[in-house]
Amino acid sequence: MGLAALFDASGALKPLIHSVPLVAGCLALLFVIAVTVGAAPKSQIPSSRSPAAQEPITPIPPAPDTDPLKLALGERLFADPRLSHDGTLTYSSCHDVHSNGADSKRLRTARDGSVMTFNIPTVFNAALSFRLNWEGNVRTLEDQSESSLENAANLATNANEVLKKLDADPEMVRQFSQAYGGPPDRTSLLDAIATFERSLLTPGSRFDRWLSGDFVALSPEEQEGYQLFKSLGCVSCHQGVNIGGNLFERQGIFHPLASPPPEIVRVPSLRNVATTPPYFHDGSAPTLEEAVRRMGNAELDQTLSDAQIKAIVAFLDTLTGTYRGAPVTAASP
Amino acid sequence: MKVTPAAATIPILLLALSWLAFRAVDPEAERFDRALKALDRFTLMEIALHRDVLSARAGMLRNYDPLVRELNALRDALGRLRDNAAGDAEEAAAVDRFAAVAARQDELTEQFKSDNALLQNSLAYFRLLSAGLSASDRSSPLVPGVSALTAAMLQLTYDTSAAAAREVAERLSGLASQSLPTDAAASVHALLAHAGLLHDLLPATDGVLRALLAAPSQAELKTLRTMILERQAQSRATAREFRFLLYAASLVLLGVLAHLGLRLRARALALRRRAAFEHLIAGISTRLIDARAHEIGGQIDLALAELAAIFDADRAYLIVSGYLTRSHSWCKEGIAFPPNWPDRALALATDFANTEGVIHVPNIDRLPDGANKDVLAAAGLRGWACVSKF
Repeated sequence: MGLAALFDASGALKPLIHSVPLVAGCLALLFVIAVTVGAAPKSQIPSSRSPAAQEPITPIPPAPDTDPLKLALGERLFADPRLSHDGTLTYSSCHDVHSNGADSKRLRTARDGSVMTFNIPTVFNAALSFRLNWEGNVRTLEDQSESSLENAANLATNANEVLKKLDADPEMVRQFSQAYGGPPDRTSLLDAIATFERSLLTPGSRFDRWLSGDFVALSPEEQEGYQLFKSLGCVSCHQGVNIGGNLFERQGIFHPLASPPPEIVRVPSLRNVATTPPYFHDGSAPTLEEAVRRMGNAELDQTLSDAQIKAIVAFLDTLTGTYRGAPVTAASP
Repeated sequence: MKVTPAAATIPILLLALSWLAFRAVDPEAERFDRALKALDRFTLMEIALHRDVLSARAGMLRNYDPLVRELNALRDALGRLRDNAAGDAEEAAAVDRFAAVAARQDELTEQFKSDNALLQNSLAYFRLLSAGLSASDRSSPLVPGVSALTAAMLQLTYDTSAAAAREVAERLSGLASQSLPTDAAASVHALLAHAGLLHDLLPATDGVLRALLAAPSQAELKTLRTMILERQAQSRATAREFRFLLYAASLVLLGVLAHLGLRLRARALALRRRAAFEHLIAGISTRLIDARAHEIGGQIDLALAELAAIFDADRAYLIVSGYLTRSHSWCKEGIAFPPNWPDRALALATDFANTEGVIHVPNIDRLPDGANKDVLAAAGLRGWACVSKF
């Protein structure tokens, strides 16, 4: 693209012809940029010789191309307190995209002082899951956004109330007009938020690099952990691009796992799992080691050894990806 | 402003032709094309789904993302069918029936994914445990029981009949009744737990798989496709009829246009002749007014010749009857007056002239038979125009 733009401008830039070294330097720079930009996504595409072609887990694809105006608007709305009834909460209050896309609390306290039923799942890579929430009762990010808006324990508002607030802000109306060709409405409001959430993918984990053919991205212990993850049958549920998030499963098959209900949960994604404690739908496992141990007991009817847990956790640590070039990190307590 | 009937006809004709043209292009063709495309997409995705569930059951497909994509594509195709049938209650009802079957297929696929994941998980663990127990101490009294259970389980993985399940149940009971060495108790309990799960899960999963593959989606799909194809055929036939009507209307309009053109041409010719005639009359009048007395006769002869030429007449004459009858005549070169002509014309004129004294016999042959016709024919006339002033 850089080269094309330069040639397009050649008619108006005739004096530059005299600056041949400068032009050559620019071309060389553009070439380097083009090669660098072009190479990044290619490394994520599994070739037939890379492990991804045979493995039950596939690398995270690049975020989808999207309208930058809608994306910017969605990002702004995600952190806008006007999207809560009393102006005290935002989507990012529960889903901090600067850390792990969730929070560090076991269970949040609702507005009425009661404790919420479910631990907050991360918004990172939510777009790759086939259903949303622990119960998997929501299919689309738009529906989930509206559900959160209307949930009395969360944002406790509704689209109409939010739209009235946004309509009173000329700058917001301008942004909506630029992105959607009209003033804010329910569809564009939810679409903007969902567009931003679809961009919240975290590619570039060490495991994805290994899948893509970078064989030194994982240490022998981590590779051993992955083999154990497969041989013990964990991969039966935690597979696919999101390492889970694509089926329902009964929790506590052999022994109780976490506080029921629900008996059936959407299998959670293990992407960035090392950064999203506490674990399980009730947030009852404070560490990854504890979660792995309890999963072994409840789902496999097996007491995993410390060495097995360590190896599996070592593998799970490799699933941490990057967002906007920075590694995903655990949320502050 | 007064609107003439002809002017009022134009917008009506325009509307009628526009309507004919609109119906002739089969306006619903795209709707049917979209519906059939959605049905094809559904069929394609359903085939892929069936292939992938079978692959997953066989352990060849090791993640469920393709199944998710296929179910999404099926839902998307259904949504398109539903949108497409919005204006047709019967078609919408058929889509709803089809959607109900597809929803059942969706449920069964989710059930299959959950069951198959559990099954693959237990199979993996069963394989691990049985291998471990068999390899730990080959002289252990547990080995025959574990081996027999493993063999029965292997049979059950590809033959989920009741007999195979009974065999596993028997082997399970046999192993469970054995006294367990302390060091192997935990492993055997886990093996029995997973084997018990597999004993129930393998036939159940295959049952779900059979139900999924036997879901009557193809029958409903065929019904819906037939309905859409029938509507498409009907729509095409109607469009053909309207195209024919449009063609017929075009021919009629062409005929009307040709007729109007001929009439216009005839009217233009008549006007041209009239103008030429009036121009001639004016010229003759001017010449007669300007003529001296001795020139009058010559001018009359010349006028007769000019008038005869304009009517393409063979003979022309002017008879002034009175005390002294005078006449002027002209005839085309090579043509002569019959005997007693044009004096005879005076007598005949009284018989033929209408109340205004005008005689116009365009063709003598078309006169009814009789004395008049015979007289005119005997005078060698083919047509006769005469203005009498008595």
